[in-house]
Amino acid sequence: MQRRQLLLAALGLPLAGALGACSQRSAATPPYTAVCSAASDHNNQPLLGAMQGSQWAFSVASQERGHDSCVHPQRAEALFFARRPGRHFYVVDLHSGALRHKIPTADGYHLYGHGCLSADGRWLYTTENHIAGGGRGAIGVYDCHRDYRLQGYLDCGGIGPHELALMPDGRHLVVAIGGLKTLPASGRKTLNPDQLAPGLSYIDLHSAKVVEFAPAPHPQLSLRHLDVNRQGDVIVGAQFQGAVPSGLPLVYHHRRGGALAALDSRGPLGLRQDYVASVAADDRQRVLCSFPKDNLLALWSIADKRFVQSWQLRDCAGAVFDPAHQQFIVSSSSGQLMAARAGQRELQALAYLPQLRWDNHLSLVPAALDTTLAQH
Amino acid sequence: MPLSALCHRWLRLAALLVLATVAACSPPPQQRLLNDTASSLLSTHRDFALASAQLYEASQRFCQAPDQAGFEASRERWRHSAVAWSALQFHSAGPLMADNTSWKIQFWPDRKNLVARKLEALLNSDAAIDRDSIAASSVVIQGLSALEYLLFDPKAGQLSRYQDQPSRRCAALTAIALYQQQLSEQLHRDWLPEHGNYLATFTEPGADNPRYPDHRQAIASIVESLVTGAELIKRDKLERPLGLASSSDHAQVYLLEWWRSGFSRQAMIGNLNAMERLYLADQLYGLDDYLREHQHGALADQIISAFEHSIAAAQAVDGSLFDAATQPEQQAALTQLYQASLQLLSLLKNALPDALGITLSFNGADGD
Repeated sequence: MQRRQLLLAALGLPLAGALGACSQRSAATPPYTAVCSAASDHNNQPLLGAMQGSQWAFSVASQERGHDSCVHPQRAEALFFARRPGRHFYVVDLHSGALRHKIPTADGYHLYGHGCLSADGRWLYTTENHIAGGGRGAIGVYDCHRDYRLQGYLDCGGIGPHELALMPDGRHLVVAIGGLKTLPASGRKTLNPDQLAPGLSYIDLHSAKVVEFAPAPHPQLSLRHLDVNRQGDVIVGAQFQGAVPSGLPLVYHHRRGGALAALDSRGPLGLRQDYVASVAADDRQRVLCSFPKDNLLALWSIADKRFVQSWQLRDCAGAVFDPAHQQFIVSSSSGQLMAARAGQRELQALAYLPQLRWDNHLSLVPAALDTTLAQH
Repeated sequence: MPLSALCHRWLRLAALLVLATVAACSPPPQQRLLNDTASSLLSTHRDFALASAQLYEASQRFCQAPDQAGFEASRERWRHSAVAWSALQFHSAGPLMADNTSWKIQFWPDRKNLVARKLEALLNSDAAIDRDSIAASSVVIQGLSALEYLLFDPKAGQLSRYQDQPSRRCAALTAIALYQQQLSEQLHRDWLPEHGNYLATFTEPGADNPRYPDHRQAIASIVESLVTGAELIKRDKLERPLGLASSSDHAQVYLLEWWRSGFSRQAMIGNLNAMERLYLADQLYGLDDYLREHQHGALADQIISAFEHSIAAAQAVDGSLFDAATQPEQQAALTQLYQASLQLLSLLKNALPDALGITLSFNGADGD
């Protein structure tokens, strides 16, 4: 430290202000593939839209808060799922930015905020709560070719199904079973705190049966969010339903036929709140998880179960891999869209919308549609 | 014009010029807030580095010839370090959050008594004990929690143990103290312009700043640290170990912070003092001034009162929390302390962000 700075510091004077001019930064905004996200504006108005460059490609207002989204590549539609206990998903035309459909669940059901598509794009699968069935979990099946008409339900083998994904074989769904029973009449209160049975459920779409259930290693580890890579590695993140920090690993790896194996040993992470929001796998057998309550993002190598690195970002939640630019796109409730790249110590700013709060998840607009996105 | 009048006039002009220059250079309120808060934070980090260095020196001196005076000096330096750490413990952003640093400094809560188990395993093994072996070990035995065990545990942390088996015990004590000294020095450096320069990150929000794209985000991080501190006190330091959440709860005194040294109450007072210092930016331009400048003077005063009330309530408890937990005559004082912590938390978590237009934990509070 220079003598003048030492003197200022010793006097308790604002050292930083005196040095302000010394550290100018300059950086060009790096490119990224457009993403869909739910959000809330400064008036708490829920929004559903897609971000491209420094601004919305489109956004539509909704009456309920959205959670996750997915893009239907053949139909060039973005699908947004209402957060628990919302009862609608919203279908937006990516070319015009117009709301095409607002599809309600059947009476006696509500959504958990997540959905995914079949390999051929014909069917949409959503995680739902069968309220009238005592809170049993269900997978709603909707026909994308017939205005998302409800086709029926699949059993998911548990209570509180949350995020789901299509396995690379195109034949099985993997579902994170949170185990938490909630009913709209009692709000978001957990009605079965001592009887959670969280785990990973695999559903065979040909037989419509649960063909495998991998229980969570601890009954209070509610499994919520997951992703699967091309090799069939399923990574699932937990939220501990007890006194935190639990000291338990929160991120687990699973392969069909095996048991859940911890990916995070807690060694390099100072987690105190035990809450995983998003899980995003890349194409190099790595996975990034967001921990909004700990203001942290962390990257692991799946192949050797090794922690790679972490970044800090206030109340970060959304995360998706952007293969075209070999980066993870992450979002925060502070209106930031950032790039996390392995090997780079700092996150890079992609876009910033002050007064906007990005909601929990991001989904990627496929590169083929990125250039035809509506600009409103 | 006489010379004296000319001088007088010149001096007046010079004074006016200085005032005008100061006014023109005076940064806007949000920048003053960040500058002055950073200055306060920097001194907090420097204090912790200094306390850690003194603890290492005391442990070295003690181990040259273990006697009562050296042992008491080491214990006193440990207490000094624990107070210095209590000023950083609740920070929710910055270098402290990187590389698991806070766990390396303090392993708590220790539900499975891992500190004792892992340290005893090390002491009873043939494995080398030096700074490098400690650095490569589990966080459980790297920090102040391990040093507390070695200096205060009713069985293991007694002078006689050093006089009976000086070599491995002293090797552990000095190696861990050295590791802490280096860690705290690095933490301080991470703030300095010629090293990590987190100072610039914190005080220069902007589009190119990945942590803080604008001033509001940096100010939110101050508020978040205050909330983290208040939650830590309310939940982890009082409610859970003392069984205060409901009438059916039982005290679990071994979840108390620093139960071995009986230092929980002083460390909590350390937290409260440091949180108030952070709020006031060490009597410079702090959040209190910023609130006043934005027509929230009543709230600014309410928060100061809540800090003072909480500190007074902690001081009113007689002895350590570990002892007070089982003394019926202390229950009223403990309940008052808990109530004071609830009030402080409510002001910091609800009223303060509302007044500043800040949202805390939108995603984290989602519950999905």
